[in-house]
Amino acid sequence: MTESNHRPRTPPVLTALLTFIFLLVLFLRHDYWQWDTPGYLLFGFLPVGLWWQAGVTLLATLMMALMVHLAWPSHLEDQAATDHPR
Amino acid sequence: MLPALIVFLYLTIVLYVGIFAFRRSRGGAEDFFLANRSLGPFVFLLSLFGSNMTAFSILGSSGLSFRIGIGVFGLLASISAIVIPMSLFLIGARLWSIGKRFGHMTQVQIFRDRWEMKHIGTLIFILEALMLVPYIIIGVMGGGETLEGISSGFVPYWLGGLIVALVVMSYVFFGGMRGTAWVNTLQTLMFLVVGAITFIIISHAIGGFRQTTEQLASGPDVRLLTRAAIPKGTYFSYALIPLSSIMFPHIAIFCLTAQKMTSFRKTVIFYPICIMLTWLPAIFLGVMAAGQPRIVAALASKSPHFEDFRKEDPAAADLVREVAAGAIPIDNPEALILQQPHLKARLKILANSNSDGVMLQMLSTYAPGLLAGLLGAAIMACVMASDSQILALSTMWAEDVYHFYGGQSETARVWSARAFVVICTIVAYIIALSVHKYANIFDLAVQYAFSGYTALAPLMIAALFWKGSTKHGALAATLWVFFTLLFVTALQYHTQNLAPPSPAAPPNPIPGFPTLYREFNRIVFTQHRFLIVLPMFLGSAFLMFFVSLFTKKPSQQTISRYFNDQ
Repeated sequence: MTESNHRPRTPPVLTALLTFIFLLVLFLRHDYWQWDTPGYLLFGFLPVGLWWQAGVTLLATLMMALMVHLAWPSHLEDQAATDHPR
Repeated sequence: MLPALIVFLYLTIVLYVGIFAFRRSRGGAEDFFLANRSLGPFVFLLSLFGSNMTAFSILGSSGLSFRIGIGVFGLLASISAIVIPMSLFLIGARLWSIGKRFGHMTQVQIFRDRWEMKHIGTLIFILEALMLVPYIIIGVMGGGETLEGISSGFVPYWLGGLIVALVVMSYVFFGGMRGTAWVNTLQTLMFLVVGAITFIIISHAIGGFRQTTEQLASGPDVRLLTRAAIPKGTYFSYALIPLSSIMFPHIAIFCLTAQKMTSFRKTVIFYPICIMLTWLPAIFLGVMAAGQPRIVAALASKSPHFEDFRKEDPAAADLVREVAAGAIPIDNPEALILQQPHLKARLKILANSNSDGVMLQMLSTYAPGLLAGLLGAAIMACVMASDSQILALSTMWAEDVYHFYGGQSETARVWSARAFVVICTIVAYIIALSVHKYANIFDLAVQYAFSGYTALAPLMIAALFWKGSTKHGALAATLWVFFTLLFVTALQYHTQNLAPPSPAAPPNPIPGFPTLYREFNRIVFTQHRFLIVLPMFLGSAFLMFFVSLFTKKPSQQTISRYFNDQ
């Protein structure tokens, strides 16, 4: 076992918060409330269902940036650097 | 012919990159299969994304949006933007670490070591290989269709597919992972840049999107601006499909090629952006094409059922051909007959049966020659993502079978992989020729590859995150996936008489199977029309869990090696 194994892990509260954000983004993808009508056309041509989903994609980018900055599993990299292949 | 020449020039460049990579090779199995685990962040992101971009992403998605509308983006793209980066973050980084620590090169090597198993690993290899082949076939099909479309039929489908198959085979054969990664990087860059420019130019050529959208919104095609054509159960089940990504051997193996784990950081952040830049134009153009009578006429005239239509109404068929060729404008009084509701609906049905060609039709109709060639080459780039699948399959063959059953020499392993590349390409080409026009690109992929790999995801999750998982759990889940795939395929074959006449028609219940229904070209689960991937995934997860509870765990030593971080 290496020294890096004793590094502090992501705090449970933070893990819970990030899990909640993930579930929220996942929920927003399932926008069943705007299903059967084109609704408002953004810029006159982009139907609401499409720009909503494009927004969800951008949210996914923000979510992943948060994951990387707040919960990066650096211990895995440390292990790979210190352990030796069989 | 100019677009076709540009595509051929591009293929030559790609071939050269593969040969250049061959010259940089240091020899040895790890170098050929994993580029010596040396890829930097830039190449890692773009080539990983390129590996996930296939004929299906571009041709299939724009064709599907032509048929069912904007919902395709939510159905496939936004969920991929959420799930794929997350799976790379949670699973991919762990695979990288384990590969680096223990020297593994494939998923099966990890499973064998993690669960202390032998021949069960071979079974997993067989299943994965069987499911990967359709994916490779899609690449060959897409290549043939692209070259045929770009050259306006001058290069026939069989020759286009043959050329693409030979080019891919050559640079994979020589360049291995390094060649494949470099080519994928070039391909992704090309697609993103040229695709964006072309999107803008086509929008001008069709008179702006506003006019087309308003035209769609005021007619019966308004449903294409909504998700009315997608059953909610189907939409929900698609949330599982991107889990297949990390289980696809080429993606899992690719995770092992990064020089440092930090390469994953930029990849997972920028991956959703890359998805949006690629899929949004493809899907939007597909929908816009449905509002372009000339495109609809062109697709209809190339439909395999057009000949039947011509026999029924020769005058209308001739008119359709002239409109498609641009010889008669759609607002010409002669052509107004095609605007009659019954003829319009008939043409749309014909065009739908050939919808995978919509993107190429837009190109050949609206984009200037040079640009059409550049975008054609960019589409070709995505189509040729089958390179990483062929390489992955040959890596698995060399490591999981040849090496495992006694082949120790590194040189022999590399050469056995190269022989496998050749065989695999020939088989894929023959199948691509025989099923062409009978299987829609998209459905073929979803039914036989994506669903199966998604259902195998519980194995990977259990191996990496659950100490209590066992080889017998993995065996049970693997057999479940294998037999459900066989069952669904057989059921689909034997229920052809129950298939509704069109994809939009409601499914019919299958006698004797109260929860299964037959759609136009697939079996669905319950009347809510969940994809079959849902029960497959749940069954696999349940068996992995339940059987593991009651079977012997691996030794404590093995568990400690894998979980010393917990």
